[in-house]
Amino acid sequence: MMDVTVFLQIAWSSIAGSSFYVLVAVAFALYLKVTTYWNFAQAAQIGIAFYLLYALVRVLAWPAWAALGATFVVVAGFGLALEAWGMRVLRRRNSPHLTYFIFTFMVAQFAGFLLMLLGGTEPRSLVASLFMPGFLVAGVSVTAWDVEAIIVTLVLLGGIALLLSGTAAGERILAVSDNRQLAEFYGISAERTYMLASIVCAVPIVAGVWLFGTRTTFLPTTGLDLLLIATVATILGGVGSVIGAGVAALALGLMRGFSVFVVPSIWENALVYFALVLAVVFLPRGFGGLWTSLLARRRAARMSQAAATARASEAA
Amino acid sequence: MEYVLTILALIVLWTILSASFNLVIGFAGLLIVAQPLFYGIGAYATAAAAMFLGVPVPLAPLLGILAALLASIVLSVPCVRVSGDYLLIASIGFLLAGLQVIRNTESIGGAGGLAHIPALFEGPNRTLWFLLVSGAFAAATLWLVRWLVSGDFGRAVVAMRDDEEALAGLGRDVLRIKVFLVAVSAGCAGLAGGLYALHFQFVSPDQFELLHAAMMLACVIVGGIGSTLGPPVGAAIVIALPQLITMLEMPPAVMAAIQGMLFTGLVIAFLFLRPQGLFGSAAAVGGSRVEAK
Repeated sequence: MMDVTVFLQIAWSSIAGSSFYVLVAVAFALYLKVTTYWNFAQAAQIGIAFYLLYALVRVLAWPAWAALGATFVVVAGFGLALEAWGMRVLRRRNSPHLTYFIFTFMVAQFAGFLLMLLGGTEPRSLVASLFMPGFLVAGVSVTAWDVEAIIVTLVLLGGIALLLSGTAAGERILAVSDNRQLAEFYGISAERTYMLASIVCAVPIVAGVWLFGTRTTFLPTTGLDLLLIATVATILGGVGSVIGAGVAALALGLMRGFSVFVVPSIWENALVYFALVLAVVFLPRGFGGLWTSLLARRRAARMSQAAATARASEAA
Repeated sequence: MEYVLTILALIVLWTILSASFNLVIGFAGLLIVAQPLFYGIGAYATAAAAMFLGVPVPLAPLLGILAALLASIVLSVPCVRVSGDYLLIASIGFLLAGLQVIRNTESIGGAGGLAHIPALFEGPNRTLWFLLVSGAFAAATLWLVRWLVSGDFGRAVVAMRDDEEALAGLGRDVLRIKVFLVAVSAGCAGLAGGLYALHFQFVSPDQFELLHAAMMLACVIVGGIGSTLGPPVGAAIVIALPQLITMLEMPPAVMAAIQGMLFTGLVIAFLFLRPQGLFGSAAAVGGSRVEAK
């Protein structure tokens, strides 16, 4: 029988610890929603963000806000360069999806090797000590990092939701993601919108990397590991649903946290990868898609029942 | 001389790997990147057969082929029903999950790997003999791929790549063709893994990471996707070129990073400057086929 305090502690730590997965998953899902391409080059952006933050904060002792601002500019710039000189060229050639995968995957690998060359292979973190003093709330240990992570994640998710639903730029992003040709017919430049999406994606990436780097250690290969979890979350959340990806990333974090009660911790990663295969095979539209199809089925049943009632009353 | 022979042996093994990978990804248009796992399963099964089951060393690779083939069926039977990006993502998940299983299984060495695997050949000329035998297997693999993609079955494979629904409409069992091709490709990778284990006498999960899928993609892209001649040339370039860096006598970590940048940079350059690779045709990388999925 699990102790309630232990349960609450694992739940709280998993929720806080999922914050960077949620942010990276949102960035990955947003780019996919707008462009329809799985952008594994975001792993390169994650790596660049970490090592730049490390250089600015730990080596040059910049204040956090200045380091975050400069890192955002560089990561967004990298995203724009990738769009302008990579993805746009492939789009003009009408390249198959395989080519996009190879290109973004190779960019991620190239960046990993470059960062290995520049930053070495030893694990690094953005803070001098990873020890975090906490305070007890109803027997649950809460750290300042936990609170910061949850607030930053909620604020950024709210900001992205507001941008998408309440601004002209967000409308353009949604229009292009819904129907590129129709959006262009109405004078919206798809290429510019892709650029805009790249800039928007840089925000959760930099914030996610900051949270990750202040909680644990980072290796040149960590970017791809984070992105693979984002991929699982994107599929489970339903391709096209940015919020769904975020919720799925949170659920994966909880699953990993609670998995220690079922399997040894060495199987945590294997569980995520098995979940990925199972999700693709049995739930390719994710839980979001499952929910939508359930609603559609219920609506169809209700309509056919209404039609049958109408026919019966007509006959009477 | 031994060094040159070892590099040649690696090129030959990577010819088997990239030619079989090209069969699935280039000719059949199936985005499956789990090839390193089949390579690893072949290596581990061969090693385990020779070390623990008492199977005669020359016959041990047969178990490697069988194990890789069975693993491919576990992946392909449920997964080839989905296509395009979803198949790709599922195969990445399968590869990573499989590697975690190998890494966490202590009876086959766990993360540390298996050492002291019996050798296929002993004596001063062992690398030369290994090169000749594995060269014969590489030639057989190239012939097998060429044979499979020509004739009636080959036309069906290309038709499946270009328009799966149309081929199904003609009464061909597309699912069976896909499972068969993935199994053949995995079997070849298993053979390469078995040969690797019996020559280098050490295998560990790190040798079959996702990075190796990138290297196989590099061989296929540089040589020419969807061409029979491309993979051996691609393998020669991707394996031999980074060896030039070793002459600079740098620390291993620096050398590994530069070698990695070299082959990934090479692929990116080819994607933009010569997407059809050295021997592929422009039609093989055209936008119509995979996009249609």
